[in-house]
Amino acid sequence: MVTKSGKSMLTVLSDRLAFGPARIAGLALMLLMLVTFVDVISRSVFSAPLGFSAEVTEMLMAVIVFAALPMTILKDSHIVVDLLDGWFGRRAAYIRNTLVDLICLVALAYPAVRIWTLGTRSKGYNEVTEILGWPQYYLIYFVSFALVVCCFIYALRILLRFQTGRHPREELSC
Amino acid sequence: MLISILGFLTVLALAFLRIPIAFSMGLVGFFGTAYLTNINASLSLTGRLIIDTAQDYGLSVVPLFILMGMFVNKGGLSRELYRAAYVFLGHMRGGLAMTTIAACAGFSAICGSSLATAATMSKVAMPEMRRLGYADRLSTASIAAGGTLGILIPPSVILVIYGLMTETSIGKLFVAGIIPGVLGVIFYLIAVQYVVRRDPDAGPAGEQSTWLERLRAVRDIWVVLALFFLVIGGLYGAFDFYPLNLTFSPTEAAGMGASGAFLIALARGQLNLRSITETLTETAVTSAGLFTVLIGAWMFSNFVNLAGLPEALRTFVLDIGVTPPTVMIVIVLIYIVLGCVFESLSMLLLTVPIFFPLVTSLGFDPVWFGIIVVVVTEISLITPPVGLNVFVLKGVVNDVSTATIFKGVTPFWVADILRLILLLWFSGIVLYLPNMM
Repeated sequence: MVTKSGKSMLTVLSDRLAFGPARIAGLALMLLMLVTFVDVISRSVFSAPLGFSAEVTEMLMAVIVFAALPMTILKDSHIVVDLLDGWFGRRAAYIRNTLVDLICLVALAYPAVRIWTLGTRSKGYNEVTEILGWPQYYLIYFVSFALVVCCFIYALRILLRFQTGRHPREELSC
Repeated sequence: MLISILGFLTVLALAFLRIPIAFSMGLVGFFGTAYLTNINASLSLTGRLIIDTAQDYGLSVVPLFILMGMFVNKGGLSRELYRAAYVFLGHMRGGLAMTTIAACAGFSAICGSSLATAATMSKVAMPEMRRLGYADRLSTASIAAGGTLGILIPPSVILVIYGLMTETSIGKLFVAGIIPGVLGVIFYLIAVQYVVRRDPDAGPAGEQSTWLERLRAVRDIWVVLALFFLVIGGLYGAFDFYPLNLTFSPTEAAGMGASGAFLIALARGQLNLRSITETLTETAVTSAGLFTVLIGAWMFSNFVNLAGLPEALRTFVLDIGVTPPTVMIVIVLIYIVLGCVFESLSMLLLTVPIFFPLVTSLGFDPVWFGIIVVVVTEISLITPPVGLNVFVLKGVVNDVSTATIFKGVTPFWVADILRLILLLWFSGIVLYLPNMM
């Protein structure tokens, strides 16, 4: 199926799965910068550091990393060794890339499930953060959910490759 | 030891099959740990490691320093830096190439990435050198080599990651990078002089500047100096006096640096909502990529530690009776060879868990080893066939062949090797400043 813009539905879907969270990651980064700035200024000028800055930093870090991860996959910006690319013919590269995506998908799916379990356990123990007292399981579920989104993007890439017979990045808008 | 070596070779094999480095290390780490314990324990360890790494307070320094570099880039300070270096060096033979090296060093002082330094400076320096009729091999090589200074002159993202992995003080690492960085600049300037003495047409002299022009140019870059002083001075404790009483932790230094760079870019009218959003998103995506490699590296590191590789390696080295300096030379040679194949950060993350315990147990200083590793990594950025900086430059300057750039880079590469020998021989050059902290 193709949309009005000429892109396949699968491309649009994987774009949407990555773009929104990436914007959230950017926002969290801005917030991280501001929290650090305000903390240092209020400590030096008013002798009143923000007591919660370290805790907020830790939470924002998780949001930055995992909300941006789907975009990292979509943009193919993982670090790879491409020295042997010339050795693979078109067909061999197609099979290799599909296999690589499949391996990455499985490699993320297992931790996603395990992290969800850890989240449920944390919820059961009523674990909260030390200073702000926020439940920890929200963040753990978020990490697990982000990994599931990454798995979806890998799955969509594989499907897209089957559909078009070429590398999905060629169809991307970003 | 055998299982660790097998693991290492498997990582290399998977990486060559184009599986992302993060996944190659992570998978070997996961299955290796599962082999030594059981699959359930390995899975739990992985889950916990992913959550803990992403929430690590110390690691927040990484995206903030990257963000600082990105805002500096957007701020368009590279032109002023180039101008300031030019008014002092431009009138000499090979002056523009020397200007490029000095401007790269200045840019590195506020940006922690070699690739960003090379990419940014090439846009400013290349047209100028073309205008004066510089040989392509000298102009491109000076940018590629000058760019490598980005990861040594503080702040440096790669030194931050080394510090976090090995629990070495980031402040000390940064300060330790200053003298080797300055030495790097001096050695590169000598390399330029060597090239223009052999072939005076390769780098003709530019116009002489007046002292008034020089003063004006220095005035234009005061913000760069201020930002550098804010970050490194804060880490070093330069503001630790009444009434400020302020010493920055690495995260605070990075946060203040990013905020400063943001304000500079904003004041210079280089930012709008769209470019801010793009910069933030791009930084977050780059950071996520780095964190994935970091998580993979930690999984691999857990496995080699569990397999007892560091201890086995130490026993092996003691049994065959080689001296510590010989061990260090072998390690450096391994880095140079690996650097021909691997991307710099991946190389660091893959090897540090193996070599670091050995090196420290043999009595070498962790700060000194960090600087040596980064200098070797710098060399790998201009070593054929991978030499990433050369390819970054090739992307900007399409009409010069990669072979020409690599050929031009040779004198700079030799200068790097000489500096490396100097740093290996006299550890005091590296440790003088951090020992004063």
